[in-house]
Amino acid sequence: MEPQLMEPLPGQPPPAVPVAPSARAVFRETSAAGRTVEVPLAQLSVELGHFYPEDFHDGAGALAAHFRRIAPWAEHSSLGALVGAAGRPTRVSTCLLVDDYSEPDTLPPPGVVLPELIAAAGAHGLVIDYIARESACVENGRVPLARLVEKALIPDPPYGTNGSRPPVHETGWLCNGSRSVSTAEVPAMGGRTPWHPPAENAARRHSVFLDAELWTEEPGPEGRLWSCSFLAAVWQLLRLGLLRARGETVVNPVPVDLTDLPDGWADFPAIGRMTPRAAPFCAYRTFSALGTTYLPVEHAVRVILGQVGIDPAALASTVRRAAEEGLTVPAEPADRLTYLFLSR
Amino acid sequence: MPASTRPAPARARAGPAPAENLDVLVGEVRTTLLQNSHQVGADTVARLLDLDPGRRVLRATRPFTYAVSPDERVGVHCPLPTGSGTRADGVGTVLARASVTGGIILQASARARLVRAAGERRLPWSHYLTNPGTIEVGARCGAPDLTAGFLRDSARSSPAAGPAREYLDLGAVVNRLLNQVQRMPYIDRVTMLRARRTRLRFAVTWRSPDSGELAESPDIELVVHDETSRTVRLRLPASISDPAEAVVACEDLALHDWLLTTVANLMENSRIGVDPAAEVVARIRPAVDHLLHLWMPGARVAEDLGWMWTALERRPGFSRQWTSLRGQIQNQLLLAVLEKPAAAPTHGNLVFQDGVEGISHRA
Repeated sequence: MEPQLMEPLPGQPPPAVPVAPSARAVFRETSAAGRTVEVPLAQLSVELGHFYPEDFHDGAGALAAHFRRIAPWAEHSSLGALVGAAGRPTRVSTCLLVDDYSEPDTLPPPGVVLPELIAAAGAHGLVIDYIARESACVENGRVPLARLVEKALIPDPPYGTNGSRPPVHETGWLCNGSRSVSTAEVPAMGGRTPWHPPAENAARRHSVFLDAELWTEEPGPEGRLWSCSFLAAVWQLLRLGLLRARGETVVNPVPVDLTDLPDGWADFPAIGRMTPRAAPFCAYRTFSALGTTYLPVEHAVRVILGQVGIDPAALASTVRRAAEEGLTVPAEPADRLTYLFLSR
Repeated sequence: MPASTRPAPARARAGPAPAENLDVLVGEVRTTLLQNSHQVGADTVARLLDLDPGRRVLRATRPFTYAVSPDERVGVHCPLPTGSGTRADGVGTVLARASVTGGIILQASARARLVRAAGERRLPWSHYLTNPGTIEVGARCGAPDLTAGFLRDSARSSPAAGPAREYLDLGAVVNRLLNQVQRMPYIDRVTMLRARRTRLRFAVTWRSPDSGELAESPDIELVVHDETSRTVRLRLPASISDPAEAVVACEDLALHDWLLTTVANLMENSRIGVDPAAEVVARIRPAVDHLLHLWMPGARVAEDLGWMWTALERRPGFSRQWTSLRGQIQNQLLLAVLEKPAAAPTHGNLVFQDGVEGISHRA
C-alpha cells in the first residue's frame, strides 16, 4: 500500500471525545471479530485399536483375537455409563488408527488392511465408523496439525518462572516438572555440582516425573520425525473436537467406498468414514481400548494434553453443549479420556 | 513453608479478612514505531501479527486501520510485588498480544487477572490452562496491596534500582513480543523518525456494589513518571465488568500518550525558529505523513468507558495539547510556503554558516 497522502492539515479541531449518543449505532466488521466454528459432536468416541504394520503380518487370527477381547467393553450399555448417560440412547462413534507413519513401507495397502479389519471387527459385532491414518496427525492435507499443537504448548512453569525469559524448552522434550541436573552440564573445571532429583510440579508429596520426547530431527528429506506420544496427543485432541486452525475445524471425515480403495495410504483420506450413518467423529469424551504397551505412551499423552492451550471458545462450547444434553464434561481435556489397557 | 505463610493473629487483624474476594486486572502496554521506512499495508500487517497458526489476526478498518494478533499465553509461577512487602505467590497464565495501528504504530500488551486461589496447594497445570489470563494468588493480601506493589514496582524498576526480586515481569513478556514483530522479514527496519518506546502499566479494580455512594463513580489516576513510563489506576463500578474493554481502553490511552510524546519530542528537536521553516517541515514531515490523522481518542473504547477520556480531557487535556501541536505544525507549513520563493537563498546561506550541511541539502 502506498503511504496515505494527507490533506494539508484541515483547520478543524480534532474529533470530539465520545459523547453518549441519543441513537444507538450498531457497527461491526466481520474481520474484526474472532470466530470459532462448532463441530458436530458425539457423546463418546471409542477407539477400537491402534494398529502397527506388524499387526497385519500375523494373519486375521491376531486381529480377531484383539476384537474378541474388547467387544464386551464396547457394548452400548457399558459405554452409556462412561458418559453419564446410562439407560438413554447415546451417540457413540467408533474409530481406529492405522500407523502409516513410523514404517510406511511395511504397511500393506488399504485394499488389504481395511477389509481385514472390518471383517475381524464385524465377526465380534463391532462396527468401525472411522479409520484414520497416523500420518494425518502430522499433516491432514490442509493443516500441519502437529506443528499447530506444538505451537499451542504452554509448558508447565516451575517456581520462579516470572515471564522474564522465554519458557525453557529442551528441544523436542516436554516434562511435567523440573528436570534433575544432568551430569553433562557439570563444568569440567571447578567443584562438583550437587545432584538434584527431578521433581513433578504439583506432586502429591512424591514425584512421578515424566519427560516425553516430542520429535527428533532426522537427516535427509524426512526432516522432523514426530514421536508416537505426540501424535497420540494430537489424535486425542482431534477426537475431542478441540483443535481449530484459524477458528476453522480440522476434522473433515471423507466417505470411503470399500469397493474402490486407493493403492497407497497417501491417497486414503486423513479420516475415512466407513459407515454412512455414523455418529460424529468428535465427542465429549474418548474411550480407548489399547494394549498395556501403550500405557507409557498414554501417560505422555496426558502430560502433553495438560500443557496444550486450547482455543477457549472450543473448550467452552463442548462443556456448554454437553450441559444442554444433561451431561457433564470435565473442564480439562485430559480428564475426558477413559482407557482400557489390555494385557497380552 | 507453612510457618512463614501462616499469619500471626495481630497481622491477620490488620490485613483484610481471609475470605475477601480478590479481582485485580494488571497489565502493561508498550508502544513504539514499527521499524519500516513507510506505513505498511493491511496484508503485511496481518503477516507481521500472524504469530499463531491456530488462530487468526483480527483486522478492522474503521475508524482507522487496526489489526491485533491472537493472544499469546505465557505460563508463570512466581512472587508478585506487594505494597506492604507481604509475600504473595501467583500461578497461572499471562495473555499477551501485539497490534498495529495505522500501519505504523506497534503496540504490545500483556495482562493477567489476579484472583484468589481456592486452596494452598498448587493444582495440576491443566487446571490453570482452562482459564487463560488468570493468575491465582496464594497469599491473603488484598487488592490494594497487590495494586500498590504492581504500580510502584513500575516506578522503581529503573535500571539503577536493579532487579530486586524475580517478580512477575509483564514488561519482559511485552518486550519479547515487540522484538519478535520488529525482527520479521516483512519490514525493512528503517526508522522514519526518532520515537521512544513508552510503557504504561495499569491496574484495574472493581468497586463492590456495597461501597455506598462511591459504588457507581469510576475514577482514573494517570501518573507520568518520566519520559517513557506511565501508570494508570482504574476503579470501575461493578456494572462495567468486562476486563477486555478495560484493556482496550488502556491500550488506546497508551497509543494517544505515545502520539503526544512522540510528536512533542519531534517538535522540540526540530529547531523551530532557528532553521528555515522548509527545513523544520522536512524534519516534522513523517509526523504529518503518518501520525497526525491517527488522533482519535476513545474511538475504540467501549461506550461505558467513554468517561475515561472525558475526564482526561478535562485534566490534563490531551486534545488541548494535541491541538496546540497541530497548530504549531500548521504554522511551520504556512511559513515554509511564505518563505519559499524570495527568501530561500538567504536561508541557504544561513544554514551553510551554521555548518549543518546534512540538513542544507535536504531543504
